[in-house]
Amino acid sequence: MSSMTTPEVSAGPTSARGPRVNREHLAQAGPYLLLMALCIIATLLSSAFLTGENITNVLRQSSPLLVVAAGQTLVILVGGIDVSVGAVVSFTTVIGGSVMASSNTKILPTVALVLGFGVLVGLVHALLIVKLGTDPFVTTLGTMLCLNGLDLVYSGGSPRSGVTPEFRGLTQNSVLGIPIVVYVVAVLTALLIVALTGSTWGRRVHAAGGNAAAARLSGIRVERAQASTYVLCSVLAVVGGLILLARIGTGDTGVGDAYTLNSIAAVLIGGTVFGGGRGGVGGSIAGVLILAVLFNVFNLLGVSNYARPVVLGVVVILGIALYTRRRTS
Amino acid sequence: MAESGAAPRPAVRWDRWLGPLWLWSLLVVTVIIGFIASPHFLTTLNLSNVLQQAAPLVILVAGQTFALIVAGIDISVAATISMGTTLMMMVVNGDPSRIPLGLAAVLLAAVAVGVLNGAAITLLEVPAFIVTFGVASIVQGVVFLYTDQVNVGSPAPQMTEWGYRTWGPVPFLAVVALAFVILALVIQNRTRFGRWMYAVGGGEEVARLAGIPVKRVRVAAYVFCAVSAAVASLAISLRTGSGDPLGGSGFDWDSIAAVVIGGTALSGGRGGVAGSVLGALLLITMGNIMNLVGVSGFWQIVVQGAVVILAVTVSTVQTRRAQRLARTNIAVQKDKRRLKLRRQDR
Repeated sequence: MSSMTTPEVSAGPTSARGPRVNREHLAQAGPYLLLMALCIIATLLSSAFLTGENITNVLRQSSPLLVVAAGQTLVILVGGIDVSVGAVVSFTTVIGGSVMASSNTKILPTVALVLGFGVLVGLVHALLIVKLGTDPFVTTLGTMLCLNGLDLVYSGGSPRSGVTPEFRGLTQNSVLGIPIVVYVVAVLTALLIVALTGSTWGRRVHAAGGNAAAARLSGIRVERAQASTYVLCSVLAVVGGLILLARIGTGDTGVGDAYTLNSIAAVLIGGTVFGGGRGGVGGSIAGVLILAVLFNVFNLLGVSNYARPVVLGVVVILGIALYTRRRTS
Repeated sequence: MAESGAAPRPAVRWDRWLGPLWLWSLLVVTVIIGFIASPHFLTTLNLSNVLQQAAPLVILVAGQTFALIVAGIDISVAATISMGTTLMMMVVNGDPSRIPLGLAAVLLAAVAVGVLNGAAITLLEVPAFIVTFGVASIVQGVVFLYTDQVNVGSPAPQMTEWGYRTWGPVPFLAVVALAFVILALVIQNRTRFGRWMYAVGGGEEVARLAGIPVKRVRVAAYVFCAVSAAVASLAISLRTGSGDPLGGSGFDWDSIAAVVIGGTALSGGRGGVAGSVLGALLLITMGNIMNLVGVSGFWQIVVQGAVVILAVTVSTVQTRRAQRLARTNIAVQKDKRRLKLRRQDR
């Protein structure tokens, strides 16, 4: 193969160990490098970008997607995908917005109810995908349709706004100048990162996605690890839905739709690969923030509605191309 | 997995053209349910209507199948359909002499989208999901740009006439869809490119080592997918009054659902166009029956989701059984051979 002095870009899959480690490192740092580059460009383009208020705003707006994408990461890590998260987010806002019924005493029961609903959806996914072996994409597509339909049947298509101001405080009140929700999201994602990298469960998840057959032969309960990720993903989508409900104040049927594609895009931008085994929640956080900064810059610069999707598409494709290489194994 | 590919099963041949038997059974059951549920279902008028409504999705799933066979996916088809209808309506704008120009513009634009998808996937080595997500975003933005986010243009009278024309019970659009599906089936089953697609989707490295131009096969699959979206958009524009800049939305999920219900795996290398067409017909027929019975649009979505889950479960169980059967067949053959060898030893 190529000589050892050649930089890693030209190194083939069978090249020596050194270059491959470099590429691996690049894939891990890539999302953060891209995020930094975007922030520098944003600072140069607009003086309003690097202000405490604006950064707080970006964090507050991206908090639901951060949680949803963290859950999506887990599922993609074990070689699956969950396209129902958007429907779960919408469903959560509608149920939450009507069950809470403008009463503070009902906040906790409401939260418990929707979390239970998340567990239920996750268990259905786990049963079908892990136990019966159905395709994760289509199975979650099916639940997505079911949930979207039930959502419409339940609400009749009209928005629900029984959210109390105290519940909305989650996103509107700040401690030390930072919205409460940012702390919540930070703790949640930190816990997930620690669990994924440091615990037995995390190693099992990585092993189940990397090579399920080998993992099974080495005594790992692959099915259990996979099932846990589907349940966690739905529960985290519910949490994302609750945060979104607190932010916008009304539950509506379509509000979560964009979360499906955005969460998958963020996870892939963050360096987690389809097919599983490689990546992590840390990268997905960068992926979400890349999207959030991009939208923020669009707003600050007053980019036209027509140009936004075009720029988004170009940045997403070229940004990922800078550091990802599709791995064939 | 590997066994099912290696096992020589001549009985499977015909379903490459006609689709899996269990899907036909499901379709028949659906038709029987429709017959029982509503007296209006099994009438020439209604069935001819169903075929007309099904045409765009049927055409589209043929292309989406190719994207899935090469282990990819194309979520930009919805944006491509929006582009196709708006472009056609804007170019024609009521003037029949500009129809050929409109056709050429739509097909060329679609080929460009397909090449963009294929080139970005193969040259930049970015996952197909991300590329087609990005391209969908770009195309939709361009459509917003030239339509100003409002409905544009109008069809020539001839277009509408063809869109609603029927020969007896057979609608013109159904004939177009059938012709397109046959074209896709021939490409899939009777050409070198078709075999290459399965090879590339089944295992890229092996395909490359076998001398297959993997990248070109990939690009061609995405170009065919985009062209099928363009043809679907033309079918839509024959039956609508103006070009809707969001007219294609929903076709991305619907087409993927139909393809996978039809037995094509997202992991690539398996399945085929025929199953996808049956999947599409199943979804459309169910929608029609529910409309006739007066099920609300909201509940229709729920039922559609339930059927998707049911179909994928049945298809999984079926495939597993087939694989087990193939495995036992191999085992039996091996046993026989071993027995024979032992006898010869004696």
